[in-house]
Amino acid sequence: MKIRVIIYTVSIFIILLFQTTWLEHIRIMGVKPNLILVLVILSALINGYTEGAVVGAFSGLALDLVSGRTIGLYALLGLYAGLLAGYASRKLYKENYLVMLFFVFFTSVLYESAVYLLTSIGSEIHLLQAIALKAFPEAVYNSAVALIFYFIMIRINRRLQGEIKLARKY
Amino acid sequence: MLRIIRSKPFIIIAVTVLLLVLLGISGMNNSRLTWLNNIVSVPMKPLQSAVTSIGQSLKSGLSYFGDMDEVKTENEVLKTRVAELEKANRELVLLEEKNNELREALNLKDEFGDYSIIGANIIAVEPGNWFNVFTIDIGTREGIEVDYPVVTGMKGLVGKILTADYTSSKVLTIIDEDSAAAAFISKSGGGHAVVRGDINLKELGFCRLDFIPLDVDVEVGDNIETSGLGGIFPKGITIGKVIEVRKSSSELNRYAVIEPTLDFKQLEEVYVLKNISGNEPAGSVLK
Repeated sequence: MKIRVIIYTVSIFIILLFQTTWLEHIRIMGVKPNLILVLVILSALINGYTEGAVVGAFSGLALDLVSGRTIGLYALLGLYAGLLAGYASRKLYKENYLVMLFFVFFTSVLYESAVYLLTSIGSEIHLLQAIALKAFPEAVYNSAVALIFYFIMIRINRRLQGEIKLARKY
Repeated sequence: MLRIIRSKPFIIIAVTVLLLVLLGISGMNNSRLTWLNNIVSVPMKPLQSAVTSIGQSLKSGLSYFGDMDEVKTENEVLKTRVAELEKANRELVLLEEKNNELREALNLKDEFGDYSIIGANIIAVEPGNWFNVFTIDIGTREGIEVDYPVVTGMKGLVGKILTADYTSSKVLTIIDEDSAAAAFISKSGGGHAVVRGDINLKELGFCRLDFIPLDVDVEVGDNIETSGLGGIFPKGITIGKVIEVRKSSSELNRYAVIEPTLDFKQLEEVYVLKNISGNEPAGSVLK
């Protein structure tokens, strides 16, 4: 459990560091992937909605603090993104790449649409345009990144679970 | 009772309410929660600086090999250009001296005389795709406060300080749709308008000019600069040029597309203007 918390904390910090610096240079069609969101969705898919929600809320809070706008928005959205992805996928076979890509894609579109709607309260809203220009390309990009993340996270997860089993044995 | 408190739906609702309260407080009064931002921004700043500068040197290192031929031809062109410019420069120095004499004679007040200029490096950008905000490496420790104008030299308006942490601050650029700057269409018969960001235009690095007075004839190529109204930006900083005038249903709905003089994607260094006179900028009474 402790190891898990440390791994997540360090990963979130490193991801945020790159999210705010080098990722700027690998924009495709004007968008960059949301690595934090990918982490949240995958943690929910691999370990269930509780872990997804906790990782979502904390990484969202970190994102709030880094982005310097109102604090709580990304935390709330992260919480629900983790919950949604974890809960909707609870009866599906998780180690299937297609299932994983499906959830990353649709949760990304929903999440970014929610960000757009909540941040443009009080001004003109062009939801479809926003989805077509930003949310959709980003979701595609996130899915591509998720392939790499998933590969790494599954392996870390297996190793952690292996250690738990070992600890129980002795 | 304990079982209810420990149940997952209860925890989710409790956390949601807590976050909504936090959202409300931070939305209402930014200054009280800035210490929270410092928890992340202070340890993050040196790392962001390091990673960004490594990225920049990598980029220039890689381009070194590819650009060798280009550099050679460019060098030839530049040498002749330097000679031309040196000549032009000598003439300009003479003109500047003349200009200074005339200024003093007229006792013109320098528009930026009330400001001290603080240089800053851009160390990070927005994590998401929706906003055009970046982080610079100076903060309240260097005397930066919210709403200070940010420029590059004196030739282009970048934006203003959105939040100031202890060692770093966030800059809201003029192409972000949350941004608005009082502007002046600088030509004879020009008038006051407002430059705002637009979700569709910012992708191209453009912004829009709204509230153009009916009696002003805006044309492609018109220069737009800050008007000094609104109390945030000093007067006379170049914003950009009109590249298109768009009319919707009626004349009242027209707006102009502006190409800023700056390329926001290429920015690496900016200057923050700090008001040192204590006087509010001209026009702030209208706020």
